[in-house]
Amino acid sequence: MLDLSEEIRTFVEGGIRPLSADEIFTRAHQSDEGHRRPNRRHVLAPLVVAGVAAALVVLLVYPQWGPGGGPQRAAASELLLFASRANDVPNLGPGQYLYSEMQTQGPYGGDRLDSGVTVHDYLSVTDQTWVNAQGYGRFVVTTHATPQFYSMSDRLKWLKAGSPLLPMSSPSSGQVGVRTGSIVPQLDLAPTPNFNVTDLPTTTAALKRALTSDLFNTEIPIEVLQCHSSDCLVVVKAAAILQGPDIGVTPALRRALFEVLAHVPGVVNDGKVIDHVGVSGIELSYVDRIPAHEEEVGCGHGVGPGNSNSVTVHIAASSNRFSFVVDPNRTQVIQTEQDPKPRNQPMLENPCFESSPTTYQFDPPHWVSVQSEAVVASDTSTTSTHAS
Amino acid sequence: MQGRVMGRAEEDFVRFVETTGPRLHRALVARFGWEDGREAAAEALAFAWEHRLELAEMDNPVGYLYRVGANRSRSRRKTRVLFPEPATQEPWFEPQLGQGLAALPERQRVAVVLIHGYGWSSSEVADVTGLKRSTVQTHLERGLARLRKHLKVRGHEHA
Repeated sequence: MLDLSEEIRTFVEGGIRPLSADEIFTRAHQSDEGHRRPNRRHVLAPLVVAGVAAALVVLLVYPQWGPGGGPQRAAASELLLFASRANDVPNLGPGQYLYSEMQTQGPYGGDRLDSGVTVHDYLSVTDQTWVNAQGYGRFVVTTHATPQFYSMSDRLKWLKAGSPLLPMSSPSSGQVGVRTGSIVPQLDLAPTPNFNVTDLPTTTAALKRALTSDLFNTEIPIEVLQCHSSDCLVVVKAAAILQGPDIGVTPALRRALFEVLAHVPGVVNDGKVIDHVGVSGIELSYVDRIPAHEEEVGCGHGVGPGNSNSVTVHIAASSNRFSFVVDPNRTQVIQTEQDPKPRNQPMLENPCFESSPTTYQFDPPHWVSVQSEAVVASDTSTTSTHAS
Repeated sequence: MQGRVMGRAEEDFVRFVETTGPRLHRALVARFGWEDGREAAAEALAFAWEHRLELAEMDNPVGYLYRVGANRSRSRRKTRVLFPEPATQEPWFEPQLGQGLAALPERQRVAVVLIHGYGWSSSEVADVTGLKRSTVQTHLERGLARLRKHLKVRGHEHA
């Protein structure tokens, strides 16, 4: 017979089923999707107390709050604070380059595994850009072979299937493109846009008008094409310019960009987050809502909408959440992200012959994260010459 | 943010689950039994992932997560039998041990299982449970006396 101490330990340990990190990620992911709901009975009382307390704080601290206050007002305050400190502009001397390294996504792959389930994956891409004060330099795009997944549940499905080689995966990492010369713009190769902002106005009203025009529409085509409102255009372009890399940026322009963002209705402060490359910052976001609507699609060769040979297609309501993360110490935008909802969009492959969707298209999120940024001495160096 | 890749944050968290998770899991099993304790630990660790920034700045994240697990699972506790007798009884176990542990008040059971069973110090249990060390020691003594009495009444003698 064991002594009581050993017996208790052996007995209790014998009934413990270990928890794995994957199980925890899955549970947290379910929470993200709203599958794991707290019990109402236990949430209600704290909510009432918290609600009363919050109302008191609001009344005492922000008596002037009207409609559109709360997180939106918090976002405006944060952005105006960034505006007041937006002096951090790299100063490029002769022979110097601004080097930036960004992590983003390569092509999306919706891969059907032998088990019949589909996983949503992509390859990670690193964009390295060297640009001098005149807009010349070099950039290198490198694709990494290890498949990445859009959600932890995709990753778990892939692991459960025995980690098979996915069709999109290339056998090894490697450079997919190198280009030198003028790098503004480089539409054919650079997923990360480079902006020449020399001519942008620095008064908020004029800057806002410029951002709602066609300016930079081609440099950031993915996000801009999906914008429904003009406010969306302002948020997407201002955040992308603040992220850079840019030619001709000044403290006055950075200040004006933050001020323009502070006055966009609907921008909210999501608080402290960790970005996709593990750096923390303050996240601000804007949701662009696209209401359900009808679209006419022409069905005959050379026949456009409005003719008898066209059909009306119902497009369901959807939304796009645009967010950007700011390093509060340097007031640098370190990540921009677009997240469409619903992720699975119903598709009419041929609306002229189908009346209801037969397939669904996965609409993946898209982000660009700054991995490093420095002023360097040549277009091959990645080591800072001084603090940028 | 949605669609996070397996980056540095995830890797750090996997290490956290592997190193700290078992300790938290045992503490919650000691309090709530095998099934509900596991559920509480899973809830607490999922919470830890969602709030890793705040936790990174805490002095005693396990103590905090212990309370999170207890609070989150309180409303969903299902099992009345904390330590069900195994289908096949191992000859070296007291047949009434599970029942005896389950019969203890929660705090006494936590002290008995973690200190007497797993060899934690009373300070370590105090850190996790938020009780004073002297209180934990009292719970241990009373719990052990009660457990021995339970086993003795049922015909088993323990030192």
